[in-house]
Amino acid sequence: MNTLFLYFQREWKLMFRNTGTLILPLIFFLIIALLFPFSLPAEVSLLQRIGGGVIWVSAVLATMLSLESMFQADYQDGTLEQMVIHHRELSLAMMGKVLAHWTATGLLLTLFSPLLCMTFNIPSDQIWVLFFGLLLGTPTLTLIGAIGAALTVTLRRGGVLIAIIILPLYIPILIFGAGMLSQHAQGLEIVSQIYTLGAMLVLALTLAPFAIAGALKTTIN
Amino acid sequence: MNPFSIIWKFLDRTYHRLASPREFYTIAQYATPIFGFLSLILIISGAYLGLFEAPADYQQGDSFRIIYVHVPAAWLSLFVYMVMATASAIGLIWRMKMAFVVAICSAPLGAVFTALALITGSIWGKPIWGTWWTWDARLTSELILLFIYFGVMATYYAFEERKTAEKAMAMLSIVGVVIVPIIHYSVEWWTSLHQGQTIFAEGGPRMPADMLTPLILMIFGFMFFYGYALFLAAQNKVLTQERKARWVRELIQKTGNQR
Amino acid sequence: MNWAEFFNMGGYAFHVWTSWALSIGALITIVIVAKLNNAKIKKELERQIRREAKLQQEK
Repeated sequence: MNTLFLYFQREWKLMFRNTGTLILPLIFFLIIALLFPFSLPAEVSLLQRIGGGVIWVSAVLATMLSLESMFQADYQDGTLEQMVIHHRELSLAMMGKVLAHWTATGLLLTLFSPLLCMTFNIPSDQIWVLFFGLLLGTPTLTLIGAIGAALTVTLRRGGVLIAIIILPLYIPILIFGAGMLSQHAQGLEIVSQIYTLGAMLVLALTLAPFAIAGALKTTIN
Repeated sequence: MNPFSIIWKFLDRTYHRLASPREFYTIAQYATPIFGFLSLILIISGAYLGLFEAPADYQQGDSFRIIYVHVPAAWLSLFVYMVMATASAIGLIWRMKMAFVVAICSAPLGAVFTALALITGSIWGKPIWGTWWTWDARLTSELILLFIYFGVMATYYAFEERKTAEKAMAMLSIVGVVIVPIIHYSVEWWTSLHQGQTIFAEGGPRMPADMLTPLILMIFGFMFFYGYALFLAAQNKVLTQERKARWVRELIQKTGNQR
Repeated sequence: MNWAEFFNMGGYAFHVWTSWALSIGALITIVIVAKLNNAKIKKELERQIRREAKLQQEK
């Protein structure tokens, strides 16, 4: 547990040293979501109906875009290699790193999602559904994405490859996250979706760290 | 000696033989014509029975004959993935070189079967449901499977060093095994929410024997074909990978002299 | 049943025959590509072996 905190802290310190890059995923998220109204007929009801899905897709894309940088800096200055070689609890260390990364991407854009909801005229009770859906879903996105990031760290142009590997795997989370919203809009129960998203998060929290550590061990040698 | 230990010994020996590229190549050389022959016989007889002998469906008429290529392709798309993932796991756990060869040679074949299942499915869908594509659970998860195959192949070809490429590909295909069922069920849940399963109602009567026999023949024909194509591709892969080995040189010289 | 009727497939000729042609065509293509690849690899290996033998002789 100590390792996890240590790496979480380390990542945080490193991230806050450079606030400019820290908020890039957030800005990307906002811009992507705000592109949709321009490409659609200007009807309030339409935006209201599809707004939740648009915000989910933007969150997925913003998370995916931020993945490439997750291990990149540590790989380039050689720290990652040292970690892989020396660390006995590599999976825990990587989990700390990934969770810290999530606070700067998933958590941050979840916090700003209500703002976007207002521009889409989404009613306030639905804003809460979206907010908690993103809160449960984005850590899973980051954890699964980290596997792809770990597999492609050593590649010079890994960004496109990450997208091809990871996006198909994101579909279940997207289905349940956005499905929760449309279900709630129809006045139906959303407990089962919350449970499913929670189960996926637990599964990702337990399995992904080992996959990430394994992937790093294979690619960095 | 009890029978189990004999079987175990046999498996153990075959396993070790398969682990060596040279033995693997020899076995593949012998197995290839057998698999090819069996698949040819099965597919020809299946096609004959399916196209000529099987009666037309009372609901779908003759269009149901697409089933004899569609279902085998769909079946194989999953079967090949399971083979690929199992081979990947064997390769990662026991560091068996040839398992990776099987895995990476399976990926494009699986992608072809998946694409075939999608294309024939949509050709079949046009006259029966009146549309080329619907966002049905099975269609959607098959499409995602195709993208996962692409991802696995892209990962393999992105790395310059072969060993890293093999391991990275193997890891991804194992991650896919965990996620493919989740994708399937989530997509099923998603479609059952949004649209009724009216088009895909399956409650029809069970297939009579004269319709079922050709289907089974075709499925086995496709499976043997997969074995055949896999061995062909694997031979090529082994030859390129082991091109510096002495046995490959001797083999090439031998075939060269025969000519 | 005559041949014209058979090829007509009860009006579904286009759908049935395209699916079958695509499937069988794909299988045949897989085999042809593999065989061509095999010939290419063997040819290249042969050439390389010959080149090396020549180098050895010159020494």
